[in-house]
Amino acid sequence: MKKIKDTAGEDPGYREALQEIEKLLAKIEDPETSFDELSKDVKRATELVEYCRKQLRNYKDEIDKISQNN
Amino acid sequence: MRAERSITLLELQEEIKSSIEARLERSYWIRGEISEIKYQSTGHCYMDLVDRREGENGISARAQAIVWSSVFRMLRPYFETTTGQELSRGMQILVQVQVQYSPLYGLSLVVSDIDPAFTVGEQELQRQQTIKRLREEGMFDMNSTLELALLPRRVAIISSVQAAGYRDFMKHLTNNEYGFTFQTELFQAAMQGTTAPAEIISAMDSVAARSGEFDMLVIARGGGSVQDLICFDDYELAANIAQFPLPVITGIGHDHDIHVADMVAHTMVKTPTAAADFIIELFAREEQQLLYLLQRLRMTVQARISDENTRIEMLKRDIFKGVSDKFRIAEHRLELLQQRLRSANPLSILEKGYSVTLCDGKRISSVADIREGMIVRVVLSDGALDCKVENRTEL
Repeated sequence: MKKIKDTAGEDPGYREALQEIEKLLAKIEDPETSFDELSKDVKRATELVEYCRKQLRNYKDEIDKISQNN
Repeated sequence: MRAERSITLLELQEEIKSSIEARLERSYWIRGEISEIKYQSTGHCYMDLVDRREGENGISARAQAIVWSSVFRMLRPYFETTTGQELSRGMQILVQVQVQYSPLYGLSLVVSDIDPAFTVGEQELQRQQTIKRLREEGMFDMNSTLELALLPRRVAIISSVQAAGYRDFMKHLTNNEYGFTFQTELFQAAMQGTTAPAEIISAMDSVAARSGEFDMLVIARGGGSVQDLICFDDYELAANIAQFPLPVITGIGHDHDIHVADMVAHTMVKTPTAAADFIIELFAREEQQLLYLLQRLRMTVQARISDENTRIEMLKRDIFKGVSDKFRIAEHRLELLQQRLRSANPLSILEKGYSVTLCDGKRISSVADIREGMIVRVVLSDGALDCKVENRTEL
């Protein structure tokens, strides 16, 4: 998996992951895409979605913690 | 010759005596000023009475008057209770007299009655004249126009060190309930009697010479009889108070009359104790004002803090609301992406029993691309079959 930077605020890692998912989806949806690449792309896209989910949860937890402490 | 026709001194004096007494046998009420007075140990009272012609400064008439002890015993208490003073020099009196002539002592007026009401009236008249003069000279309100220091803590006092009034003043000033401290200095002066005005004025001069060191002058004297306090009606003293460079506070103990000294002072109070109260009150009022300001300041700051807190709370709420909205949107987006991914993935269709046909590695979606005899690959979920097309049917 491509290294995704984990920084606060406008997270370029998260954003990059989303962009990659969109790109992969477009590729998967394209009938011209060869079957050889398909499973690899699907796997990658699914992983990225999971990654984004996890990141989002982390951010949310972090912010919940901040809001509880204030 | 001449000696035969002469008479003796005694015979002449007897002649004078009988002519005077025959001519002036009745008694007269006369007005005059006491220029000298002597109280004898025998109880008799001797006075020199004088009179001035209208508009003249010098004395125009003088006579000796005697009050015999038997009469004086009766007249004296009545006079003193009515006027509040004893007979003294400079006093205007109205007396009933009988003219007597003694060959040995000459002419004298024997007093049989004194009218104290006249003296009271004369003194009041004198007082009114003093007030009128001070007004005419523009001095009456002079001292009261001076501005009192906001916090007058350097106090010059004119009093007599033995006087109860001075002790009362100091005790009250130093033991005040608020714990204010003052810087005081006593300038001694006799506070009663004929020398009092001059002594007070001299003490005032000493204070005035160092006026930069003081904020105010207090003239303090405890209670006294009308006579004790008559000096506070003195013109010179009043004029000095009026023109004094510092505000003058008079605390001259008295019950009824207000003295001229009080009228021209910056502030008059009834007693030395009241004078101390007056000064303490100035400080207490100022302290009250400060406390009030402090309270206002505190309240303003509190209100301000509370406003800011509310603002911050609202901002915080907005932040978290914005964040949670953003999360919701992001989650939704991920959800959609996943759904799209799921439906777009042809591999998931294979699992349901469908298959994909490839020719030369490309997906075939129409039989038109295929001719009989061609080799195609049929991809299933768990593998692929390479098949030869035997027949082609168009739907």
